[in-house]
Amino acid sequence: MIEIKLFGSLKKYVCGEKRVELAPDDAKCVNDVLLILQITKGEVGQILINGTPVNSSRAFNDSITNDDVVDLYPISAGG
Amino acid sequence: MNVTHGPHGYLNRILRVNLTEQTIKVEELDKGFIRKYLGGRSLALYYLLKETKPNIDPFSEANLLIFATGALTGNAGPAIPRYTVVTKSPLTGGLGASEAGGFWGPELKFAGYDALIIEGVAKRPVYIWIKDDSVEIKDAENVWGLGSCEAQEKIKDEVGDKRARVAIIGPGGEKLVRFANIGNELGHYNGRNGLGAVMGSKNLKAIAVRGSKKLKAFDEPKLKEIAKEFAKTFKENNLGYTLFEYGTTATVEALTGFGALPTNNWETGVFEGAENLFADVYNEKLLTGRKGCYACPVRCKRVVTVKDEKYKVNSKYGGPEYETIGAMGPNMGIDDLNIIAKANELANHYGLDTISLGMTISFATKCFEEGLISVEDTGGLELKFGDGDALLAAIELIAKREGFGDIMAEGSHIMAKRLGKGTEKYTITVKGQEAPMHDPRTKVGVGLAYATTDIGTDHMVAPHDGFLTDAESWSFKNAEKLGVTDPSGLFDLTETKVKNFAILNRYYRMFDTIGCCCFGFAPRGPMEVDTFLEMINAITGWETDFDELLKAGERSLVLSRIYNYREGFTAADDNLPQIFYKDMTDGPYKGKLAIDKDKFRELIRSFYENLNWDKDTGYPKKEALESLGLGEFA
Ligand code: SF4
Repeated sequence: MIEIKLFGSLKKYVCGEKRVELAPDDAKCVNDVLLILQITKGEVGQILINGTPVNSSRAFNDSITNDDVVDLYPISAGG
Repeated sequence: MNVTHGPHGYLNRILRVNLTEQTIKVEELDKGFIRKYLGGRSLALYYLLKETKPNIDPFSEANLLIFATGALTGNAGPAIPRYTVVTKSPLTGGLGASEAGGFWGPELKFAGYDALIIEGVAKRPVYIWIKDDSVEIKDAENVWGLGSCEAQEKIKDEVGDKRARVAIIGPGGEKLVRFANIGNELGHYNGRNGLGAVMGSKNLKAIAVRGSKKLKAFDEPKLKEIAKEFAKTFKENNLGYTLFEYGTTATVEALTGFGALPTNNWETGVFEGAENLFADVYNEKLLTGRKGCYACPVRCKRVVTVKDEKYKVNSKYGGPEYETIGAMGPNMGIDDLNIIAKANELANHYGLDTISLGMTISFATKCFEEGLISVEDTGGLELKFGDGDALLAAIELIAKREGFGDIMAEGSHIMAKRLGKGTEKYTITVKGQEAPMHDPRTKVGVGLAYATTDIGTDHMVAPHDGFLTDAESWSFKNAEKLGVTDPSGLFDLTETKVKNFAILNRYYRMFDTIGCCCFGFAPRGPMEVDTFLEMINAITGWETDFDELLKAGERSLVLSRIYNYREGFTAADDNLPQIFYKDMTDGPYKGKLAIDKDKFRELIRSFYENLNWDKDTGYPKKEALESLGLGEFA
């Protein structure tokens, strides 16, 4: 399974959960994760796959496989 | 629609109080002045430039302390409660300016004034009591030396009006701590630049105000409709939802993802105990309520209770927001929200800016741990990262200027100069002001803000880079309406980055003049820019557009630049602390993200050019002044 960890306001997309799991067959790249969880891309500020930042191009096409951990962080705002 | 004549939303009236002469005067502003300057920071700068001489001592009688609302302040719309306090800063020696929300600015307008200019120095402690047209300078002996909460309550009792709004300094301001602030209603602060110390130097404890007049908006039904719709829908927007649910505290999590949570005086951005400070933990452990500012439904301010007896707080002071959590938490190696809440309460009781306070203590702690100062210097205080009791003890010493607190009360920049021994390398300041809790290596636009802002490091001068990275995002689409054309990556050192920053820097400066809170409006807040413009026009009747408004923002940037150069600043002061020219030391970007110094210098030159300032000197060209109608300041 792929473990998705959600931070800050992004938790609202999964009813306040901090973690969810997705089947590798359903989520082959970061974009799939965002689509399945219905997360608005513009609200995502940072994504780590196994602790490594994804390509910052915002194409979200970085691939993921079984046992990967994907961290999704909201935009970091000032204040 | 309201068809009355005269200004709508503002008054064109200024109150002037001279504390030396004990005189009170009301002056009318020229018609057109507010439309040109919008009020707030620009109005105040106009008078600071006109009426103070260069190179005065900030604590001298010659310095002015100016409170100025914006054209929108106090009208019945969301997120428009703000006012500015402007003076010469004792922390930086340049422009001192800081905005606050809350209730005081609206109340000043209900009393019939757009601004209040304080001149001179009172012989004995006083406070000012403004009730509509009646203005009195009253004896403050009874409240001098008291913490903000107690003093505020006593003043309200004394003037016999519980609903009076009070702008106040704590004992820190009285003791001239160079980063003392001015608060209102115990939860809203003109936080930065040591404005409270200037107020203290004038022997002015507080300004209580109560007004009975109603502001006249140009189109009341329209304003009502906008306000009603906003109150109903703002939580559907993610930014609105987050502010209501978490205040600004979710920033801890967002920055953790970058390994950019300033830790142990910025030694690293990776903090082991970060999870203990996450927004959900905060809500569970501390949060007991939410509060906000005048007429704003967002209610992004926190009310907290600490269960641990040792760190019990007075809930009236509100709870820590992100900058305070950052500065007193990870930056001090502390992962206990109870201690951070206590540090926040003490800072508010004594009236101290939490960013400069945390950063000065973390600097001292770093010097201590490096052996550059010892218990002999500190009078026995063992400063250690992670030691909450040492942090709280240091706050007490600073507020009272006792022992080692006396040198810490100067702020880290002056302190390092006095200490010598190479301690300067552990300061993280621009123009003498300590950095807020955002690492510009992970958002380069914030670096441009830190370097170029005239009050020293400031994180609130443009929306942070994350709002402009994605062309499809709601924030970016709103920014497009302001003239932004292309997205820019977080770490980009490009012309697009400069262009976007320059547009939004004007936009945010417009907020600071017209009286807006940046949390209310896109790209950072939930109200779309089109609706925002409709609201401005419904209040003022100006039929203005963003061209005119951004130009007014630019006018303000120019005025503060003129002021700072008059006080001796140059382009060399538009720089970043050395640490940001080095790679991150840990986390997902370990060994990466150093800002290229030469490229960054080029970006600053482009920023000057974008504003039609000389690209070498950073000073506004004559044409720039003329095109903005500022020829008189040439
Ligand atoms: S968004 Fe928050 S800080 Fe801004 S005006 Fe509203 S309550 Fe005050």
